[in-house]
Amino acid sequence: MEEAPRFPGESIKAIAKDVMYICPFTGAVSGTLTVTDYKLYFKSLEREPPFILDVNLGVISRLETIGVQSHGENSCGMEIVCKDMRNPRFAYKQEEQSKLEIFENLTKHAFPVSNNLPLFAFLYKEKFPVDGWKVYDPVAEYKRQGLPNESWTISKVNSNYELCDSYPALLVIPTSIKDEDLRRVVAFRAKHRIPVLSWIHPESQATITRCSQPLVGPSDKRCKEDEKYLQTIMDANAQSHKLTIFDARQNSVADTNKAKEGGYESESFYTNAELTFLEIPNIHVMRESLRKLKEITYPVIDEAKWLSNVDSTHWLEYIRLLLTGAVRIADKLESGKTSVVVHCSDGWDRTAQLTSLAMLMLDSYYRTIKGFEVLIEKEWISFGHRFAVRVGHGDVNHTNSERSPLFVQFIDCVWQMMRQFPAAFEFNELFLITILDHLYSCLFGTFLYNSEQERVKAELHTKTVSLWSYINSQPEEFTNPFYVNYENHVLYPVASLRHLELWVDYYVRWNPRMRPQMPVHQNLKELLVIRSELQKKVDELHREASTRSLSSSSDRGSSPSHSATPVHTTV
Amino acid sequence: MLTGSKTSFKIKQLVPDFKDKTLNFSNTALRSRETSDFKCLPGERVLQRTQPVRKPRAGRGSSLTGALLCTTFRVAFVPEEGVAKTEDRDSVPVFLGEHDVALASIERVVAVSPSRWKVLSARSSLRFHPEELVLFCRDLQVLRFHFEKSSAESAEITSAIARVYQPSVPASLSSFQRSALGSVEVKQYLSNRGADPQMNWFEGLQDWERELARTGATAWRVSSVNDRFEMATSLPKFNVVPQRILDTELKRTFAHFTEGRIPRWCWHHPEGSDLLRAASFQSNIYHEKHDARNLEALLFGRHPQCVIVEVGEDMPPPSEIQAAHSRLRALCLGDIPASLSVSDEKWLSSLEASRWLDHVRSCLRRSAEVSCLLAEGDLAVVLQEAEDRDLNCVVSSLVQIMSDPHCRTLPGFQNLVQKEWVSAGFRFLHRNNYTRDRDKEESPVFLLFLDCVWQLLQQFPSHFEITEVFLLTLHDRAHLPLYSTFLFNCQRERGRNTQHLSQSYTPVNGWQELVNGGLAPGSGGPSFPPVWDWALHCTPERRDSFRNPSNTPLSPGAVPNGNSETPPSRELSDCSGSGPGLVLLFSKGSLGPAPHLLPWRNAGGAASGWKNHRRAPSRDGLSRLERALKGQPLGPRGPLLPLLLGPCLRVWRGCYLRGALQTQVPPPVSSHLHVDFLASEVERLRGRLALAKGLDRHGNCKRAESRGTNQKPRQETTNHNFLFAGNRGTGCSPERRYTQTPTRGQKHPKLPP
Repeated sequence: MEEAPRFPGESIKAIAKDVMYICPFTGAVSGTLTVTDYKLYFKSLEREPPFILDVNLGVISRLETIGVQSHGENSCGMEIVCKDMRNPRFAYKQEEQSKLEIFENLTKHAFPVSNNLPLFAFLYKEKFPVDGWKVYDPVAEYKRQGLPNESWTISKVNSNYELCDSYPALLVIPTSIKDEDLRRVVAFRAKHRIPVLSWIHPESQATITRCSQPLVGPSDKRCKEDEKYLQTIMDANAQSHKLTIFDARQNSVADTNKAKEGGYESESFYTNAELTFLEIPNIHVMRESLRKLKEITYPVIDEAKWLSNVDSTHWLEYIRLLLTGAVRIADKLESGKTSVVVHCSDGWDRTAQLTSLAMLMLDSYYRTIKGFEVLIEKEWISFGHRFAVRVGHGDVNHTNSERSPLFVQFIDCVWQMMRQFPAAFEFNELFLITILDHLYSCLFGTFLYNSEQERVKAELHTKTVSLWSYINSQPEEFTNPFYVNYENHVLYPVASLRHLELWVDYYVRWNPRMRPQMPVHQNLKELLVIRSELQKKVDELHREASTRSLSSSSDRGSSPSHSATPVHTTV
Repeated sequence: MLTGSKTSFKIKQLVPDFKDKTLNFSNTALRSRETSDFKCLPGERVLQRTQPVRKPRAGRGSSLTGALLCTTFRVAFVPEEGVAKTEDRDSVPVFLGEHDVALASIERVVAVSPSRWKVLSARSSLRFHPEELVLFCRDLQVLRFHFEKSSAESAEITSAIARVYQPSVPASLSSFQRSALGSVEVKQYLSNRGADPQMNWFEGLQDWERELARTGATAWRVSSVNDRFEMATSLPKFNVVPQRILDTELKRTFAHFTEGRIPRWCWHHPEGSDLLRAASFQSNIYHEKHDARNLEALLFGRHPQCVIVEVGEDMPPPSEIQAAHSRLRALCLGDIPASLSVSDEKWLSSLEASRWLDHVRSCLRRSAEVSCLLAEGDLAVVLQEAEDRDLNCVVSSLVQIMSDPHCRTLPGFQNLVQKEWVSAGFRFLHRNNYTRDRDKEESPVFLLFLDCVWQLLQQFPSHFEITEVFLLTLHDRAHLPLYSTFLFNCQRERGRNTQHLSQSYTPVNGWQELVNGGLAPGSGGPSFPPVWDWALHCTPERRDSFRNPSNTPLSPGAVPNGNSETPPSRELSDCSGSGPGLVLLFSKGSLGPAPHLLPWRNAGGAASGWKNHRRAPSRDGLSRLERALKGQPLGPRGPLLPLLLGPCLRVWRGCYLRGALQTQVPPPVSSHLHVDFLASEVERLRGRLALAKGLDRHGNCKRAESRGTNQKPRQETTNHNFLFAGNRGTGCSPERRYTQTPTRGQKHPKLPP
């Protein structure tokens, strides 16, 4: 039997024959199980075509031994609980050495961090023609936004990550802010996450700034410098004499936070500021919601109760809350021409979700493949969304309450927007699913670690490959053929439950009875290929015709050059 | 309307009253006639007009500004910019523009001011100046109009609409019909409409013969035994029965079925099976020996096996379909005025509780099962329903859509509805309940069918030539009492109301017959066009998007379920002859032999006279059918079997949620439009290529030729994959979408002309 296919740098750790995969859809099937340092690969030749199950180890949340009675001598069972909505189960004979070995190896390599092993991303040796680490250059991105300008400056004050260890080295802050004032603001904000600019409106100069909660505490502490800082942010936008602070949390939770050092801006101290709570529950609620969603989608779907079951997970309700919040932020900037400050408690979870979604609505650049990559690199990765903690890369401790699917939720929101505006995004659904798959896989370095500081220390950019290298080396796979660049179009998705839909192609994709019946994308791709070929042919012929006509005669010279204008339409 | 009929009597009484009403508005009517931007139908009068009015458009904040008109036929909105097309100025204008709503579709008129709202009826008086007018329509649309200034004028037009729309009064119905169709000009115009050569109306003998030839059914013939509707009033004149039954024998069978609706042929599967439909057996009748023989011949055709499918079993009765639709409707529109802000909570649970999607699922499941049966060989599958006039229509047409690619084309779909609904005697008039006096019989069975088709379309987008826009338009038009298609319960009624001079049937095209009937001298009533005459009541832009340009090409020689490895065994076909065949009952998803099902076989001795030399029911054959039922992959040519799991059935948002008052809802960009766009661009590039080649040829003939040969293979592959105008074949309607470049240019200004 041939060996399992491997990536460059991947090595086989153990192989076991006669292992039984208990498929919840098609019944048990026997075959060979291979464990490498990247994946678990099961192949059975019992079926035609061969049955293959390929699960990367990064996606494994926990391994559990289970009892399996009904499978004859295969009395031992193992359930592989995955982060991506499936739980494959295997059955095997207990006493055999090879079986013991394989599951030992599985346990070891599925959780490399807990076993003092490197994550596979550091072993992966694939070479791509494009370097994805070059996608995001903060200076270039801020320049694209028209920064620095007279009110805002790109500051190197955090270049050693001393000011704030979870922020990037480059920060955009008000030009006029004095260093000693900044120190006081730093001290007044949780985790030192001061208000910094995320996005500036090209016309009104209204801005989205993000930060963490102010450390008001039960005694209603004030910080004049912080108040002045927000006033400066407001003054940087001449169009409005207001500043809106969006606190993503539930009002009651914010009050609880206030009782223990945290809190929110008081409207009486921050003159001209209005504070709005977006009432979004915390990471634990989201984790529980996704857990319930998994329960109702894998492996069995209750046909008669499907919709009420989805209702009971509240997953779509939270998606709605996020979208509603982001729409309010975007609308405040676009229609209200007012600058906004967004924060939650630490400013790295809900804040990242809200600012990135609002930016996606406001700025068509982020709806391109490159732009979306920049958005993720900027708002999520560089601003310290704690990917390692929230996903638990290579960590055996599955009960860690810091894990939460916030990034999944964000991508789901993007998918909802994509569904409502099918032509507004340059990327397709596969792009989003690929991103989510590699959020867990640990194949690429992109989502590893919690902050820029940690990444620099681990020399991530030299020792691992970026996910964007893989994606940008074959952009045609991820391109939406219907893309129209709606420049300067602000998208306001309908954030109503009746217009949201469960992302079945992601959450329920392991159910073979859910496979899409029509490869529509294939057809569309073919259309695109035909179009570009024809376009090339037309251009080529026109070029030839015009050069000939130029050299031969001038009397009919105008017509070819006229028709030679390339067809610039986009679809 | 014919004089003497009950309804027309009422009309005459009420018409003067109606005229008084219009007189009140004569001044405004005069004024509006002068404006050129709105074109009345010849029989239509403008009652009231006001402007400026804003109509919120998809997309936040954006709205169209224009004039709002109330006429005797519709509420029209004429936007200021983008004035309607001027192409067919001289012909009768399109009945309904994109922004218009016919009076008969309006269900409720609500006047809204900042402080209050009021549901208006003809008699209610409006004591405030509304700022907004909301029209709730039967087809689940909700139209909102904002008056720029709330004034007496806004109150006037609101009251005017409330006075004329009168949903449940028959007189307003017929005055509505008259204002659209009653004028001499429209009648003249209708009489000159050419017949669509692709349309099969299933009215004449030849129509059915055409269908037999199309499907390749040979063992069947068209019987005219019912041509005076003496055998079965609700059946069409012509019915397809097995060749070997003589008309005299056939006549004796009608009494054995409810309403005389004997088993009739519907469709022939290329693998040999036939689809039949029938009403239930009349059990209280004495079965003579030779009757039984005829009855069995009728059921079996030439097949050795006959599967009887109890269509009504585990399926919602029409009353439940109506109840589910009402629940869905209440959920989608909400209660007035709560609908102005319908609560979002528990949306999915409430949707589930409406059970509408359950009913969609059971129709699709039953149809998928029947499709699998048909694909498996040599069978007569008889759909049996108590009256054969509701779910049989749904299932028989869904089966054909799943199994026959022709039925997924635009003409094919229209023909299918003609065959299985219009001609088969679906009670459109009673089920639609236009006059609101048959609430007990009202049931949106047809709309349930359209939803099922939409589900299939969602799951197999490139297998359909028809589009969501087409289904949506058909859905909306079914609520309008204007079309011969939807105004009658059976062919007999339809013929009586559009009576033509000659009594004997002339097998000419049925459509012309209808028109001539309407124009018969002396008959003052309007003649109703069929809904399929889209040019009459839809804008060209809308008609443009009826067809999906990129659906997979039809291959006429296709063999459904072509399984090369194990060809379907023919073991059962050898027991042909006149012996009693194997009768199987399909029930609860499985098959079982059920000889008792045929009442005459129980009636002792009746069957004993048969020479019983056929072998016992073959278990093999049975298990093969059961295998087929499990819906195992049936190959690329097999029927389209929809996924029925919870997540796979979706709510038809584009239809039911149009009314949810969301100003942000993005325009319904169906991806078909995009494919259309892409396809037309490819087409245009081809054109430019040809042009460029022409140029090239001037300069260098040799090279151009070599290029030409290079080009060829690719074009061929293209033709395989996509249906473009160039290779759509001759089977298309005369108005080819790709030749209409002007409209396309306007629609998509980004394209260079």
